[in-house]
Amino acid sequence: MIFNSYAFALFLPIVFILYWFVFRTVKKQNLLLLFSSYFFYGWWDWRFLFLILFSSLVDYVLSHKIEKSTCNKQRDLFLLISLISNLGLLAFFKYFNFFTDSFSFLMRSLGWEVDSLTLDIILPVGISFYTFQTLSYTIDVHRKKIKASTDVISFFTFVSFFPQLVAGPIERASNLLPQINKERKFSNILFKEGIFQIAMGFFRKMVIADNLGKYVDLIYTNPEIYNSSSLLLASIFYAFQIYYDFSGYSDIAIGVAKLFGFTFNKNFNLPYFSKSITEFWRKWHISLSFWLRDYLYISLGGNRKGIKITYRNLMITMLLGGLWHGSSWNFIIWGGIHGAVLCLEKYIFKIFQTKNFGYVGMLFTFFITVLAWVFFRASSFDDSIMILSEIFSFNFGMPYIGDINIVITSLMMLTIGLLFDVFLKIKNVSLEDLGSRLNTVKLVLSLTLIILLIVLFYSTSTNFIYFQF
Amino acid sequence: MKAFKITILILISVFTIDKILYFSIKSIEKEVLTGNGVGKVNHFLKVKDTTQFLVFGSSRANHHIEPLIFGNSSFNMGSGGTNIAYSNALIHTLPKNRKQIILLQFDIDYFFEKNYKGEDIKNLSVKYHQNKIIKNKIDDIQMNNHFSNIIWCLNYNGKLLSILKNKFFPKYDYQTYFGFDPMQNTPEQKEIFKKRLKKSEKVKLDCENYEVGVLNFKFLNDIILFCENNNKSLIVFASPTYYDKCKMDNNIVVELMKNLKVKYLDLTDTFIDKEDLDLWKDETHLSNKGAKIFSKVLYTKIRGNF
Repeated sequence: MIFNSYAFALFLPIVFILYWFVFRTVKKQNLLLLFSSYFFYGWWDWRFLFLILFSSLVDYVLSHKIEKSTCNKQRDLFLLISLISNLGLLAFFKYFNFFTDSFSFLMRSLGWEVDSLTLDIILPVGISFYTFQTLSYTIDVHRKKIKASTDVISFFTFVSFFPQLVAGPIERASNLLPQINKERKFSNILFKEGIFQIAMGFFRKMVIADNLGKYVDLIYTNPEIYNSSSLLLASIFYAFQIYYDFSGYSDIAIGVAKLFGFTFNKNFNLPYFSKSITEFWRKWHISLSFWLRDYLYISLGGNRKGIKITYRNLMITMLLGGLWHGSSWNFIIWGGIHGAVLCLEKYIFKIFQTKNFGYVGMLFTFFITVLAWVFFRASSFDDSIMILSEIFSFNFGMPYIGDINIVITSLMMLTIGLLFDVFLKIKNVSLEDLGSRLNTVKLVLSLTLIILLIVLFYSTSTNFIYFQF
Repeated sequence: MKAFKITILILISVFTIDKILYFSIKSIEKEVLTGNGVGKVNHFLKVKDTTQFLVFGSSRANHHIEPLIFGNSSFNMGSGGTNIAYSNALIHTLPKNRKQIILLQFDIDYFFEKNYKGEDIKNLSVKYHQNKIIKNKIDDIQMNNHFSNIIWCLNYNGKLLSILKNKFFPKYDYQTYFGFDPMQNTPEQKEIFKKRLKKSEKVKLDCENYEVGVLNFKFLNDIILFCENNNKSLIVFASPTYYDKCKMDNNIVVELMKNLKVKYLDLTDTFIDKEDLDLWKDETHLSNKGAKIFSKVLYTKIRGNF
């Protein structure tokens, strides 16, 4: 079930009413959330529910084993089993064909003929997200940062909680589990914040991202026939499309969670205002970047083992972060570009004793992100290289426009989105709590405006971009 | 309780402002007679009862047929992004028993699209609350957004800017417009076309297993029946394409039209000489130069009907 569907428009109010008016104790509410979440997920393909159940069960059992073990080796062993089970599932469903393809290609390059071994595997929606969520829990138990959950329903609800199940934010057990365990009271503040953020999320996704996406799709479907201006425009549009698509999804997820009395962490914080790539990664897909920092970068030694090891760790983290997004070399290259620039920034900032270069840094950061997004969006490595070569050939004629209405609507809606972001930046307000700052009249009028803008300008799209990950 | 109050207030506010906005847009929209979306439909509805020769179809009708070659009482209602469901709905709005000639452009490729559900009819959703025939046609294939019965502005989704633009800055005088939109070839466009040709040369098509889409066939039959019963002469034609790699589908359609007793012209290969790229905008669209020649060719083939 996706957020921008009729099914969800029916599902959400039903669960909301049952949750607050029928199931009034924590245990019953959690049970309702658990079954609703499985229903929500099973709407795609009920068979994949077994994967979530398996993943949840493994980590529930192993976390207790880890907690009870007094011997460090045993604790490590149980953690290893958890890592192998979770990453094994992820590797099979997401990377099996990628690795076998790459292996066959390598062998053929070396002159050995090997039979291609690819399987017809369907990628279960959200597997990368909930795998990382359960992993963080087990690692935290192993690190003795949190206690193993004693309530199986709470734990299973934590893994499958529907607002963030398929595309994050990747919530930490330390934040979400205590909220699941404690009694929740209906809060008007959270309700106001929630509905406002949901409305903004839908606006960002259905109006801005989906309109931009039409032009991007047009150009990126046949990139070889368009000139530099068209490709550059489409790449810039894509930078905003993916931002508003994914941040829109996160807004809806965070807003929906608030309706049920939960507070998630922020997942985006105006990333394109960043003055360096380092800052960008503190503001873009925050739940993933902090996950990678805490569980990969720091585990590798972080910046504690000298500058060369720090660079190595940064590169490994970003390359794997790229690979997390999908089984393609393009994602690895995308991660590699970000990793290389992070290393470069570390080096340069140290020399100049600074943390950024102001607005020049902001432009540079945007330029690098657009450049890297080309690898993210293009359908193949060859296409990415061809697009970049064409852009840097500076063949800047008139860009191909196609349907002028689509481009004008996209630009207008993008301007509204950007002005809203500028407003948040200047006023130093967070979208997460903007709803509660408005009085009832302002809230009602703002929501009416947003809803009517959605009604008049929404564009249809098959899915959220991050569902494929 | 406060949340309940806010929810009710939002619903009332959205419902009320939606209606105010809907009627405001409608009052502007009704006066718009230019522009390829809403304006052209309004223009068509205004002239349809008094026009003798009418062209229907997709962008290939819109950009390829110069109606004035066929006489002064003519209008080209071809529209980009539309298909036979859209044409069918508009043809059914024509006056009963008035003699008219209908030229229907027919997309052979789409005719074999099994998954075609008639989504193009949504381009007429602006008229859902205004024209009963169009409303019924949309409802027949369940292409109405059910929410639009509550939130009426949904019918103006994606059209507001074009309505405002054409109201305040019309790009032509509708009284001298007959629905033909010639395509000019810019140097950039020529470059794009050359590159596209290179790419499509390599594409291999599956030229077997053709099965007519159920809905396509239904709409074609509806049109034929309407024309038979309402004094309309129907002529169906397939528009030129630069590459027509498969001929089997063309032959199936020729046979089918023969069985349906429809006058059908397969003009896919009108321009056998592929050297003159100035005739084309892309593989399936003619430039203004190509369209002028094609309109004359078509006229000579059907002038007996006038």
